[in-house]
Amino acid sequence: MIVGQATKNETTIIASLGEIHVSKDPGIVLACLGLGSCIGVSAYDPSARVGAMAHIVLPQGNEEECKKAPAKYANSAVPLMIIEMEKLGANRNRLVVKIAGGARIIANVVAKSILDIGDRNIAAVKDALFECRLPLKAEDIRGTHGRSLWLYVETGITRVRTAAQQNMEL
Amino acid sequence: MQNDSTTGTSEALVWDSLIKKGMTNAITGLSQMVGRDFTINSINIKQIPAKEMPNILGGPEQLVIGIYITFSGESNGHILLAHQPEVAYAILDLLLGNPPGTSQSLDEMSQSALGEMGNVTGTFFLNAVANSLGITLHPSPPVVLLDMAGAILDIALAEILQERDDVFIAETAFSVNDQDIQGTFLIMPNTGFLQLPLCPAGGQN
Repeated sequence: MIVGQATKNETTIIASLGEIHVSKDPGIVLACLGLGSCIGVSAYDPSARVGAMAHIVLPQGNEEECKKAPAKYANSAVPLMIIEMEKLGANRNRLVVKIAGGARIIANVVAKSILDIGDRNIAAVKDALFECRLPLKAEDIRGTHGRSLWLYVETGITRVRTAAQQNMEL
Repeated sequence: MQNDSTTGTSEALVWDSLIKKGMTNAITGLSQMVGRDFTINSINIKQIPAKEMPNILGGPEQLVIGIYITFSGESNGHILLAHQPEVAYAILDLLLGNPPGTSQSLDEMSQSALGEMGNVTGTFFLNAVANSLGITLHPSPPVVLLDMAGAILDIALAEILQERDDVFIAETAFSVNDQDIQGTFLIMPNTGFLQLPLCPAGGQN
């Protein structure tokens, strides 16, 4: 299998900035492409074979912001993703969650400063997962390079490719 | 030159004119620096959903060499000069006076040369806009990046998306007459930029 390429029987659905996509169709590959400081969150219920992908842009939104664009913020995207998966028959206690992204693309930004939005995104996603009692199974985060993340709905396999063309299963 | 402004109000037309003046000045600066005549093929000023931004650079996974600058002062925003890597290497050969095909990677000298190109282009743009408005705009030092287009754009979008979901952009495609060299010059101002008074005392409008 070539990373990031759907087979002729698969269709890739891309979660763009501030979007969540959920599917139980085994012919679907969910993807977040070109993640920099953003976080791609994949969740998968291996029994129900329901998968989800969120492309989170910012760490925290207030009540009004989260109501307007819930998939954009970590604190509203994670709970929304679970609700949407449950609508397709997933059970939150079975979810396997993996994340990628949160890079600091400009290397001379002071790490963990307010300008290090990637690091703030990582912290906020982990907080949201903790609040929702979802364990984090795997991560490929930080660094100074972009990444893409794929979730194959048929198998639950997740893969990452970096800007340097390094490929790996997450 | 193709003008493809999607705005229509009289105020927006003034902004179109102002940004085109800045873009033209920026490309003049680039021509002077490289010693070749760069031509503006199109200037496209528009407002688009943030999620469509990576498509301007060939898609979120497209590898690009970006020269990234922020500006601050009486307004702030982001400037990105982006090229596909092979195009950036061709420009480097022009800048450094090397035979075509010499530059193959982003070493320290290459980063410095491209950074200076971004510096000149960005400064020429900002000077034209600032002089027209009678304000001061300061460019940051340039940062040269080789990465996925989506990842580079995240730097600007993470800030812009804190204010709104659409991005106001000015996109210029340019080329050199005798060589197939094309690039994209993106201006992504923050909201306050469009709220600057258009005809201040001392301005040259």
